[in-house]
Amino acid sequence: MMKDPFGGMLLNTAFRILVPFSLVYAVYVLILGESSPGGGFQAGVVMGFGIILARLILGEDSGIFNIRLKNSLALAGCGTFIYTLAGWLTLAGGGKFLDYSFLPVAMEETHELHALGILMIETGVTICVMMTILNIMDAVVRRSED
Amino acid sequence: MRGFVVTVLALLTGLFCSSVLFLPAIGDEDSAPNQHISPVYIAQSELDTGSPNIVTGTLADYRGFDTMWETTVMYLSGLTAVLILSKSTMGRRPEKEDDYE
Amino acid sequence: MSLALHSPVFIVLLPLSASLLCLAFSRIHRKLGAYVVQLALFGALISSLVTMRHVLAEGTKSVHYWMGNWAPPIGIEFVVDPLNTAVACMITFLAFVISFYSKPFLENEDWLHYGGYFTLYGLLTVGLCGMTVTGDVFNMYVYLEIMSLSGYGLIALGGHKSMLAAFRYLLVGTIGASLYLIGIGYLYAMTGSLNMADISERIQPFVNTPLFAFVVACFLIAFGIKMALFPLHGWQPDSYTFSHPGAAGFISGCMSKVPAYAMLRYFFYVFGIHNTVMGALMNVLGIMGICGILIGSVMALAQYDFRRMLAYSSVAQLGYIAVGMAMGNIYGFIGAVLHLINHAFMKSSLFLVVGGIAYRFGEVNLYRLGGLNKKMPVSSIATVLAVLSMIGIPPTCGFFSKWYLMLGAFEGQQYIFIAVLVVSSLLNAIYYVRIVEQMFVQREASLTEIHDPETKLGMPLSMVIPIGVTGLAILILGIYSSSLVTNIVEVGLPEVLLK
Repeated sequence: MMKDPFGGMLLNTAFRILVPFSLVYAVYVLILGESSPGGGFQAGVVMGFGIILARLILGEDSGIFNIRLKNSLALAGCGTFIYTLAGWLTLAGGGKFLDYSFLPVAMEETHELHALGILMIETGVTICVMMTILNIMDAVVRRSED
Repeated sequence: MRGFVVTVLALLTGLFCSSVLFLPAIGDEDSAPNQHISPVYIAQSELDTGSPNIVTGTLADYRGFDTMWETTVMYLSGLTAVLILSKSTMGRRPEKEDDYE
Repeated sequence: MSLALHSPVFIVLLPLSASLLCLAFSRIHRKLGAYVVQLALFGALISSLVTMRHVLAEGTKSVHYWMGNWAPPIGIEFVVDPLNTAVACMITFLAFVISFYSKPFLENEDWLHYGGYFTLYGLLTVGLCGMTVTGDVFNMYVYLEIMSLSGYGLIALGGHKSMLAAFRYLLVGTIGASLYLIGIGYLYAMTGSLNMADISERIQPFVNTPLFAFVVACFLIAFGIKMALFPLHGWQPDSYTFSHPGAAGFISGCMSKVPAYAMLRYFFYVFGIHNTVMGALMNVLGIMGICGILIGSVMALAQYDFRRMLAYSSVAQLGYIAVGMAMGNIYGFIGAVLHLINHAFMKSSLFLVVGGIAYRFGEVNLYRLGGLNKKMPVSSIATVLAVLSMIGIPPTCGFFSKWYLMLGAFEGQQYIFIAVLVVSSLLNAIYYVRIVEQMFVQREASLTEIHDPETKLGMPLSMVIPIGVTGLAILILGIYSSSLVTNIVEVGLPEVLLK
């Protein structure tokens, strides 16, 4: 019993290896997107994959990975809003819309500010994409259960 | 009628495929896209955006405004799918309650 | 930097932010998200008015706003000229007014659909405004996507057959969007640029090449589908008929006008009309317009569903705009732009009236409207104004746009256009006067009330006021038509027409 806590060797392996790996890898893709291939969209997809996998294995009653549809919808909007927020911040800093040089953060180098801005918008994109994937899956699952 | 539609479609497809002949060759360094603003992106990207990756620099900084709308499109498509799937009563048993709240 | 300098970006930024947060607010309280979106739409209206004042005060042709402060061919820019802002003001004004109108229809919805409706509504406004003010070719494609997607959603939420209509629109609309994307690709292959002003200079050596002809044909079909120009209008009657009644006024008013305006911008401001390819294209556009006017009017005559009749009438009215463009002279251009703005108000007003009737009685049969002048006085008066305008009787605004179209046809000596305009005005008179006759003259029809009228005016106040406002706007636009033309349209005339 203790050997197969998730109901079988395949599921066990999948949960113990694939889920943590995909979550960590998603964060890696997100952070390194600024300097190497990758970025928000890809990170979002990988992260969404990890969460969906966990959910398929654990079922609907699980605690941590079970983001409810009503929350994921609102969060997807908020994720995109983070992107917009970067624009609002640059406007507040006195620059043109999305001119990261004017982000109101105390940093000397302009290109560091740009890197910060890029990281911020990529985070927003990641959240939006991840939550959108969960949204669609959730809606389809509910629909087919009825 | 069917034959007519097939003929028209075949004609249009042929027309579209033939238009490829007029495009500049791949890797042609004298073509307009490779002459006008691409060199600027390649030369300036790292200095301007601080990102060593030209693709990221273009996507998130030079044309970051577009990416914002692309993200919105993503959100919008997910939301629309959820709204439509949860709204329709087609093929849904009437006694079942919505449990979205 | 003052806020007025940033006003072009606020036109899209405010509704966008509000729409994105709408569902999060709706989680707190069912109606909170809607209030936020409405507030943002009001903000967008104010910022488009501020932008217009700024542009007119500047005295230059256009004001540019660089996103991220990247100079245009490198980055994306918003180009605001007097015409742009006039259309943006029209969109935001209608969006703000009609957002009140939608609320009674949503009374029984849960938070998800209440908030979701307003998210789609806000994003539809954003897409339309963005398409109007952007100066970047690819940026316009993204707005086209946003506009179409939210449009599909709002149409599909109408219930009762709306799903099928939306799916049909989705299939056709995707073809349109793909053709536009292919067109952009070819343009980029020719010019290496995505900025409209840049393209308009760099395209000139290529205007007689086959590739340019492909691009122009792609754009004609793409925007033709989106604006429901005659042979490409198949999706439109069903979509307008079955779309969500709260949004039908806005969808029918603006969603076909903005692609028409985009087409006008490409043809007159970017490509220029004085070359062989564009000359041939203008002929095609004229023929499409003429067929649209005649066939749309005849089809409208045959309908007994009020909404479907209006939808076919839209096909005819879009034909006017196409004909105005095809004339290729100043009067035709003014007529097309004026008709674009006027028709948005006329059609919105009529669709709002229809929505009101559907709200109270649950049916919109054209021959069962008797006695409506007593049950819904404001709606009836608005209908009369809109009908007069559709036929083209002064002082309503419809007269002036037709007047300019006539002038254009005379100047170009294109007598077939004059004949078509006269015939279609007669047809308009036949099928629109029928409605007025039903409302005012016929015996009272026996209709069952499915919603309580609430006020003496026959509908909840939040529905009466939008109807009254759009009806009044038809009159005001007509009275101030000449100042609209001299102060705004003539300032923004494209250079190709002035030579």
